Amino acid sequence: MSKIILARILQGIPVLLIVVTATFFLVRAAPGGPFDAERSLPAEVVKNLEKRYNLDAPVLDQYVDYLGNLVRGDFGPSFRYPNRSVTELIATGVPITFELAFYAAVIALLIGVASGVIASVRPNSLQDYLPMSLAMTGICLPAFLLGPMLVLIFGIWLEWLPVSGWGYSPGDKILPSVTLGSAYAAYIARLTRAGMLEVLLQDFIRTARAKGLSMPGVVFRHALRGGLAPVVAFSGPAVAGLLTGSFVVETIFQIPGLGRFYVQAAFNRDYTMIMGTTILLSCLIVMLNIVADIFAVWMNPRLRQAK
Amino acid sequence: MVYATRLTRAVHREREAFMSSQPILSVRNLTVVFSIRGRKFTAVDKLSFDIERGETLGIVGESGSGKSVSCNALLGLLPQPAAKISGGQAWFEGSNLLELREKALRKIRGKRISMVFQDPMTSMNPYIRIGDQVVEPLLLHSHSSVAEAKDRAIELLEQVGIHDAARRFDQYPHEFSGGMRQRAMIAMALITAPDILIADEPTSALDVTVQSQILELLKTMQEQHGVSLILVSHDLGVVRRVTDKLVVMDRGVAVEQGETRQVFAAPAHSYTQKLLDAIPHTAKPEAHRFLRKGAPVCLRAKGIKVTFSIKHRPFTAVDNVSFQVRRGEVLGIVGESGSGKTTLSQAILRLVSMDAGEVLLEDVWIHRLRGAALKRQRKKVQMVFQDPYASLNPRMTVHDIIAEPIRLHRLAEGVRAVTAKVIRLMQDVGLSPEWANKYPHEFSGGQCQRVAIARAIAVEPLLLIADEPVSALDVTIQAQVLNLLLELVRRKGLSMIFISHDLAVVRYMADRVAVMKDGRMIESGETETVYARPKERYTRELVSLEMIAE
Repeated sequence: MSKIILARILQGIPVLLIVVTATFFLVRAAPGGPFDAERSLPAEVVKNLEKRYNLDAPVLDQYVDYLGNLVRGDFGPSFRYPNRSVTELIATGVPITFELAFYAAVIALLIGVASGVIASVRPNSLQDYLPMSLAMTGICLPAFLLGPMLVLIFGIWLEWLPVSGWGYSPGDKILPSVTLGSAYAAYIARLTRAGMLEVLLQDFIRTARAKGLSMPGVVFRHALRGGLAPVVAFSGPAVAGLLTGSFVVETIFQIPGLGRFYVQAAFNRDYTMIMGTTILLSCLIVMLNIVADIFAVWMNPRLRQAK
Repeated sequence: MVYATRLTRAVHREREAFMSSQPILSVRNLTVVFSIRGRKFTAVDKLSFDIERGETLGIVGESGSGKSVSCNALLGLLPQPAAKISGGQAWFEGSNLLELREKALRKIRGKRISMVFQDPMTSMNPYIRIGDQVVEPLLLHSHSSVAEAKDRAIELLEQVGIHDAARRFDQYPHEFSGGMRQRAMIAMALITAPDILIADEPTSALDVTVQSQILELLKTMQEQHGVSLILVSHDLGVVRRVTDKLVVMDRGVAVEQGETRQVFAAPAHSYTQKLLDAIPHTAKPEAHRFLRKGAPVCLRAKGIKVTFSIKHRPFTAVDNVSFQVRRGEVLGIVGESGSGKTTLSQAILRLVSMDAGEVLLEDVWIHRLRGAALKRQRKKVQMVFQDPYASLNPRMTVHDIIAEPIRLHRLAEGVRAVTAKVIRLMQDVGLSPEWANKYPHEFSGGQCQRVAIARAIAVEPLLLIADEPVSALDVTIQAQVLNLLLELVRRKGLSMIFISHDLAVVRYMADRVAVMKDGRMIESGETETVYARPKERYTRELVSLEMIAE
């Protein structure tokens, strides 16, 4: 088991290296630079700035320098916010984005698994069609549509919940979390249904029923573990998607999370900031996928011992 | 007071006497109807039977005869909503099982009536430890604590022949062999001390020697625990060995029932007779015997060795096996699963790579060939596999399936010539040419196997390798397919390697027989000689088991 984990982690390193390299050269290849503002600066100033941030060196040297700093855990200074390092800036956004992603994941799993299970127990009945058509709607509705709709209904018409912010007034975390989580809830519902339907047809389910177990007993004790396998495999990419995909929701609801920094950094050509957020997020994606894989192996006793 | 006790005692005694004279389960006119895509068909038609306390009842029939459906119907385990019980009663302790509500039925399932299913591989939950599955019915239906249930389970597991049960309690199903898993299933079914045990094809998925152990175990457990046993099987040999009474089912109808001994001695119904006749328990028919001792050798294999690596440990699947097949001869290879029969046949065709060995087909050393030359030689050897459905592409018509190798090897040019050849082949294997445009799922298992055989002989091979070709078929169909193969071998002058775990079938088919065990060929010789005077202990054991079954 520990061998697989180690192997998977080692496999992640080249992936990250490719991401770092591609991003590094791509942002530099994009037209414009960090100091091109509407008001053009005197050539002397630009030259000084480039010297200060080591941008006058050949690109390859910059790359090697950057990698060297990276290994030491230094993301460098931000080009846009002088006197603040990228690490500091990210640190202010990360907890908020993580919290948002966590609530969204909880909502997605609870709603998704529950409605998938309910639908699978009586396939092709109202109990199946109702949650599944809701799920389809959830998949089709993008966050930038669902978010404002929820704000309109619950924030403006009903005045139940605040329309924006994060941690300023009670209940302002609900709408962003629901907006972010609902699409994933829909995916998870469909995956759960498919997985459960397959497991419920297996012979061992008949054995469980022949033992005298009730339907909930059969579902929870015998079917759920196998039926959730696809969901577990999906959960890695899903959580990664929640983390990286939150910038739309963060923008709609004015949340000072990581996503906002990311978007602004891209507009401002804040090279180090783009690099920092990209590296952080790709690290998370790689890690979460590894965790999901390990979890999937651990859940299946046959795989657990075969390796 | 004294009088009162005496009275209750008397009442009690009378009740006991009444109860013991009553059958424990009495089924009357059970009828089950399936509706599939608007079409209805009666899977079980007015089935009636009684079973007494401690008695063993056999329900025999071929696939689709409704034997499993009737058992599942009793416990409300029919597939919903496709199946519906449309009539009848099943009286168990004063209540009609067929009319009980789900909640009441759950108190009977697994507690009073428990089941053992066919495939222990798929009937146990792969995600849950064996022990936890065994104790589950007891924890569900009684107030015993987890520790008590565990003690009881370990005791039972030891009883059904699982040694070191305390340790194996925590293992998962995949760590158990098929036979061991079936033993655990039996322990699981008995743990609540049920009144009736329904065993649905409990040995069909197991090897011959294991089959016999499991049957023995079922019988012993039945006697020890005093349960009534309903044994569902397609295998007459199995039913004959253990049952007191017998119901023979054909297409949903009980065509005959009575004492097992009587039914076997003097079958009253023609279908029962047909079933009995279908078991080929005779030597190879004279007309098909291979006589030309001096015929040239078709295939010679020398010192074949195949090793696999399983979990980084080398495993010898075939160990130094040599044999030869003459032209027109049928060589039978018998052995249990895992004995290396199939691997050996694949090694001959170089479908798996050999570690050592030489194969001579006619005058070509196959083991030295590669690429196009190997493909040309492979054409001369064709295979027929066990599962006829799985080996035919469901999206191709029968015509296209048979025509494919003809086109591939350019055995006929032009659409008409190909079709003419396909029609001839279909006639050869006893299929009506009108069916050429049908798809495999429209055929029965036996007909599919005929299609597979037609495809195999389409390229005019020298050697046919039939790997368990009838194991998935019903007994009456088995005989037809076996006779077809013998007929083709004789008419087309083919040689055949016939692989099977079933000794009776091999005896009927083979001129010479080779016995495989653990990858080695432990004995070979003229079929009748080997069966009459087996040299090796293992062969003797196999042959004696076969004799009991007859």
